[in-house]
Amino acid sequence: MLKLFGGLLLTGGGLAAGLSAAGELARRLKDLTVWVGALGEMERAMAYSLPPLPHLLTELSGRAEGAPGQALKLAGEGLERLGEYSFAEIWTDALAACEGGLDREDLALLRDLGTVLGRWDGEAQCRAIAAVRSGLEENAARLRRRLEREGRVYGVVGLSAGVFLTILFL
Amino acid sequence: MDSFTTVAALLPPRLRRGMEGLPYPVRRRVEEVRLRAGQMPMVVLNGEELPLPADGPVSERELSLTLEVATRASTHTALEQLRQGYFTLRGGHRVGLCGTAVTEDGRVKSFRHLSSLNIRIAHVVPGCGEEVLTRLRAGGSFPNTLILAPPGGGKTTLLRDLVRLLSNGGTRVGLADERGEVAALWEGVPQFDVGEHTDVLEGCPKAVGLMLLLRGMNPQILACDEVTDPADCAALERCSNSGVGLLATLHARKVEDLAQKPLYRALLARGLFQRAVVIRRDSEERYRVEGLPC
Repeated sequence: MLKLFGGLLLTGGGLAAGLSAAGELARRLKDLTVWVGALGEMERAMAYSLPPLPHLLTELSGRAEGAPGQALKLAGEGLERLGEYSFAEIWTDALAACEGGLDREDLALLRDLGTVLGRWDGEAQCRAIAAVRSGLEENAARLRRRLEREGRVYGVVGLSAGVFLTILFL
Repeated sequence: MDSFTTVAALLPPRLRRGMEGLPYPVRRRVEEVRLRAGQMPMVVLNGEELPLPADGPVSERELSLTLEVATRASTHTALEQLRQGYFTLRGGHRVGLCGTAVTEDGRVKSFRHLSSLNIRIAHVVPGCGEEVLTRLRAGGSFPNTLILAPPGGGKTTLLRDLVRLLSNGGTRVGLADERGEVAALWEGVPQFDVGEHTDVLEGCPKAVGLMLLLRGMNPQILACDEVTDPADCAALERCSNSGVGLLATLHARKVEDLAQKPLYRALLARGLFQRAVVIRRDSEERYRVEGLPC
């Protein structure tokens, strides 16, 4: 009985590990999608109304879900520390505190934006935001394709590993 | 928060501590804070630069941080002013900047590296124009008036107070505030009291601004700061021909100087102005009202 229970646990654990790996990818895709949306709004705002950055970050953080929304909110709140820290530093800290599911490449793209936001003219900022958004969109597109190919595979591999371990120990 | 504290709050902590270390009697007299990359920070008192207590020269990073605070990390909203080499802060203080300009089609697009900042602390002297206005009105109605002084002599301060007094006395004043120094609009609201019946047009070349105010706002008096251009003089003449009163400032130490400069000679020749107020910092009679040849 105990062996059976242990076997079930191992199998379940394997399945969970597989699904978790797929879940990480899905989480990254979700955060990328939210960031792409937020950057699209940012670009439109810069193109049409050139809002002050504090106002822009407040607006965007109110509409973006999850880790991206929190990062934008932190960046906005961090403006209180301007003078002691540059906006680029405040932006980097906000991203680091709310990485969410993003990987290093995604974060590197977003970090670069901190050196541009609020420093250049509206047109140049729009171009920079568009470039980062495009980079994140590409990452999201690649990830979507990968998930379609490999999403189920993760679950099956996890389940198989669990069964294998069960057999091994039993 | 007083003006000095507001300006000190713009600075990075190291420089802010230097400002906060100044004794209170000195703080009230600080006119400007001058920051130059690689040099010790300075404050200007009575036109003279004095070192601010600090443990080292100003860095370029400190200049960038100061500008970021001043613009709320939103250079793009202040770019039009920054292209002119200055930026007006909430409270009417002004930040002038120098550095490596990035130009496009002969126009300054932005600054790549800053080399110096000059923060001019706004000083208001409410009531400084009361006696002047009484003397100007001695003959009955308000005469077209020029305010004369050298740079930094207090022309804008007096102009602001005269506009306020005229406006609060019920006169509709149109103020062509090209550089935003008189009213210092912040999100549309004057940071200085320019009166209840004053319409402010900021950021527009004076010649254009005066005509827009004349046509759109039905002013009784038009006011502007620093007549420097033939186009300004032509606009003033057109306004005067429409029956509107004029109040303007220009750079000169005395009335006789007007005849020395072609632009001002032409202004005198047109007979637009009946009175001049000469500001003399080093005299007991700070504001002297004189007649102008009509």
